Amino acid sequence: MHDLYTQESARLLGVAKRIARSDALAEDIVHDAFIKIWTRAGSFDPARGTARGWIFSVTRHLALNFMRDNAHIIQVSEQSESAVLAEAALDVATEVDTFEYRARSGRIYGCLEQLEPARRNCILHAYVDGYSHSEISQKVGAPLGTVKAWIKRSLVALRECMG
Amino acid sequence: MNENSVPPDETPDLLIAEYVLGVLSREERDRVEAMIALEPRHQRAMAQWQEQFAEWLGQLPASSPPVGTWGRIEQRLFAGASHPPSRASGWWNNLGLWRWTTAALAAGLLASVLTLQQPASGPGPALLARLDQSDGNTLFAATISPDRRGVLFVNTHHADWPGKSAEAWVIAADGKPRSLGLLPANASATLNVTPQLADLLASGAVLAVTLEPLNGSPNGQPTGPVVAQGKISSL
Repeated sequence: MHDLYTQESARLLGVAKRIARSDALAEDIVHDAFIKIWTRAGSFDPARGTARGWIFSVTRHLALNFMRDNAHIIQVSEQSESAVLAEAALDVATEVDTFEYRARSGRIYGCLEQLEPARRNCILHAYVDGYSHSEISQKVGAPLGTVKAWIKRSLVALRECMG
Repeated sequence: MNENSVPPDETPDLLIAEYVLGVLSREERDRVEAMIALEPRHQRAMAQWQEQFAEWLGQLPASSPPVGTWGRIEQRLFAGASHPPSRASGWWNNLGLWRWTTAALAAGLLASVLTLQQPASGPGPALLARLDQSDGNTLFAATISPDRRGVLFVNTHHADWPGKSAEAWVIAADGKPRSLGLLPANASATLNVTPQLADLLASGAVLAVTLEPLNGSPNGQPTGPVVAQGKISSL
């Protein structure tokens, strides 16, 4: 277990910090994640995915549940869509392109490329930053329904692309 | 186009994708988890999305936890295991301890699988097998330890046959089944493997589980029906 910790804790903390946006909180999440990984290792099914994928999922799961439980209720104002969307797309695009996801060869990157930049960035924000529908909606200044529909369509497109 | 309309293909798979992506509220997350728990098909869909998305996480900057974190984890794990055993029963009857030991074994195997996933390290490829029922549903996931001296069987479904014992077998190229031992009902277990059998645990060999009389096959050969089988493959 200590080997697993030595090997993976820094990467898991990186993931947790990004979602929790607080060092202390992220450290608590990694702590809890290792307890869970230890006690639930028997439920890991190698036939369904890699061990690394599983421990990342355990950590994200804890981080997301914590963030959702402590989220402030976000009031989404019904703004005029088109005015904010162009601005939002630019705003989000410049921020997220620092992921350099293009450099990767996995099929999912090719499929991401096929999405419009604003939608691609919604997906990346959701996954990497752990933003909820409402948070993305607030961040990009688009109505909640729009963001939900964008994400659904993007996921459908990704699924079709990846077969 | 009306941006607020929900696409017509609002399928469970899409909901699972949203769950894995992480955009759902806590209530929605709980609902999707309950739905996934009931259906192996959904579990596979979830794992698939997780694997596909997980690549993005590898690009985040790593950040070493402060020195004390491991100590806190260790303390918590040991504290959880030290239920004082009752006077009436020996330590070997302490269910908490056994659960803990099983978890420790499983965690150890998980660590070894991960170590082997590191490029250019480890003595050889990790060997795994998925043991499916005749209807295609996976009943056990088997992980073979790197030194091939142990096989961890994890049941992925309810696995309990009253009045019978489930016995695990390895079938090598010669087609002859050799017993690996008995599997407990509804629990994961690591079966120890003799050096002679260890050599047979290779990619392409088959692992199978049969139902035998209580305490196992009387003649060293499978006598009952095969409940699950699958080929060993390297990671």
